[in-house]
Amino acid sequence: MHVGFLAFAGLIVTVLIVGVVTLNAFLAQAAFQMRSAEVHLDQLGRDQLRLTDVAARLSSPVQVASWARRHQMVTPAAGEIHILRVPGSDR
Amino acid sequence: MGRLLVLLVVMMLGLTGVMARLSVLQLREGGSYEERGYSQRLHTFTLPAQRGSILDAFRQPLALSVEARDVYADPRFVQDIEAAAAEIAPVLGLRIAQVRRSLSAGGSFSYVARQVDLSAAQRLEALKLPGIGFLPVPKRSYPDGPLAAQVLGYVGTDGDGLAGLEYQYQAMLQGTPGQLRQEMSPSGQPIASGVDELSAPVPGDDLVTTLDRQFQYQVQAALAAAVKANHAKGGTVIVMDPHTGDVYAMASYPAFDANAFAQADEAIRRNTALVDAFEPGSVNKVITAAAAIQQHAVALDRRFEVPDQMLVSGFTIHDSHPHPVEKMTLGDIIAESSNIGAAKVAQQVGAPTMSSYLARFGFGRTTGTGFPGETPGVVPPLADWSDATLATIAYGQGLAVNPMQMASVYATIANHGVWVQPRLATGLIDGDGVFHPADASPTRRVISSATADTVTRMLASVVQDGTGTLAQIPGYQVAGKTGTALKVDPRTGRYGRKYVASFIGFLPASDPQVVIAAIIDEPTTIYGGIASAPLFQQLARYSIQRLGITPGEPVALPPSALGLR
Repeated sequence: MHVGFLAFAGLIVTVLIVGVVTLNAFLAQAAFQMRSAEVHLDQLGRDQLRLTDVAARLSSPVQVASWARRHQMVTPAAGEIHILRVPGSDR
Repeated sequence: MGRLLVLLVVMMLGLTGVMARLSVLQLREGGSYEERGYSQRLHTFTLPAQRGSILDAFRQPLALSVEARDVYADPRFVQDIEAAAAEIAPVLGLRIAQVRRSLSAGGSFSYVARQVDLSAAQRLEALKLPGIGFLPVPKRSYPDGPLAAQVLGYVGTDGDGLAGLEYQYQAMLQGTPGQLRQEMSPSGQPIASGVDELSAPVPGDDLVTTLDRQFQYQVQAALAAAVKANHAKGGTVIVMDPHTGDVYAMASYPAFDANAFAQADEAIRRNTALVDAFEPGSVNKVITAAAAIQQHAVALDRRFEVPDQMLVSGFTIHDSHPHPVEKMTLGDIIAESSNIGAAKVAQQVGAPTMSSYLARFGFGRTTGTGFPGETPGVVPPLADWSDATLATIAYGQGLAVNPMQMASVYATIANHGVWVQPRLATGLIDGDGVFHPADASPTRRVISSATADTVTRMLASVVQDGTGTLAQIPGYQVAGKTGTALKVDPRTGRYGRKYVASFIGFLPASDPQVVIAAIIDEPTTIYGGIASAPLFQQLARYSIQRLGITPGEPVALPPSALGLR
């Protein structure tokens, strides 16, 4: 009876300890994942700005004209430009 | 037994002492120790806010903040200064001597380079040089380089706008920095159950401008070509919508790259369209004509006798070229840009009325754009006017305005007599992406619609038969005015031999959609009709394409005594 009680109590205590440790590990893991996601989100935001900058530089009329001149193309004067409009486009 | 008792007493005394000290620590000094411990554990970090972008009218970024690195050295840990400097310098594009100075500086911290591009910083990081560290910082990027640089302005290394729109809208663009308060262990790890308070930074708003970067590019390219072709000192162009006051493009030449603003001369960084004043010359005759018509001081068919020079209060004024005495109507005076004719018209209007019309058109005060450093120009007070002042102001000498003020005069004529405050921004986009439009530009009626339309007819005759024929565009009726203004020599304080040539106009005359001011500083071909009208014409042709302007019906030209028509 005495040994049985001790075994039962030991089991209960062990399960509780394992449970608490496991729960703590899960919570810590979740916290790490959250922090990691936050960092990732932050990095994505910065990447978006960097890529927006890259896209703006690549599409810049200054860059386009400069590229054209480097490739021996002649850029037209402002008064000689004819803009072809795509239906539905606002530009 | 006696010794045991002594030992017990000693132990009791010792324990009592410990208990007393513990009580003092806990009860009396506990608060201050707790506070000291707390302050050692608690760390507050400022989280910088993302600065808002500046966008063009089609939401294309003209300025935005990207991630960069400050590169620093802890000279105590740099092992071989010469070798390290030789490795760092080419990656950062610096001179070896410059890097060597940073690496051999005293103390534990020295900047090697600030706001270094991420790619260069990553290349440097890969070298794993001891004593070299990196700090993440934002960097302002202007993807279009020299495009609208004088309008956009620039940002200092501390992230504050120093000029232009960056300075004007600093409060909206900068955002609100956040704060992170955390309890940390001595090893720098956050304590799980400790204080962890995050006040997230609020990013700055994005500023939506009225500028169109494609238009701006064409304007800057055409202006640069015109300045070079005329061997001029510089130039200014403004393109705007006369109905809304929205500025499509605003350019000053020479230009500079806002990404490297510190390397540009301060004079080049000025937005000459707003911060510099010039004597407008004959483009100012439009005000003389408008005042005369509005006040019924001169009938359209009245013929003035116009010699090529005239003595006024002991001061001889001249026309631009010698000619016999001619009969001219008001329309002829404007078309042929006669200074003597304009002076005679102004004499009919009178000084007080002329002065009031200058004020009504906005001279002597800023245009209301709020642009930093905008000049109100210089208009002599009426009490100081002599007959000679009235005569010279009639043809645009003896007063100074900024180019935007002058463009606004023509926008007022084009807008049927209603002045609209020019603007460079249409609104703000907040952190949630919601667009908050700016209030519509204030307006005021300056002259009647009938007067404005009559002046438009005269401006159309300038381009058809007068001094502005190089501004003609086949199929479109252009209205505009040439200007050739003498500049004051700053050394002598008197008029020298240098000129400002200008052409300001709009099209189509019957239903104006765009106003263009083309101003060239010190061209070798001094006349506005020769130096500036072709530039106007280039940009007007582009405007037709860019804005989809249709020709409209031509307006009737005013009566002429010269047989121009």
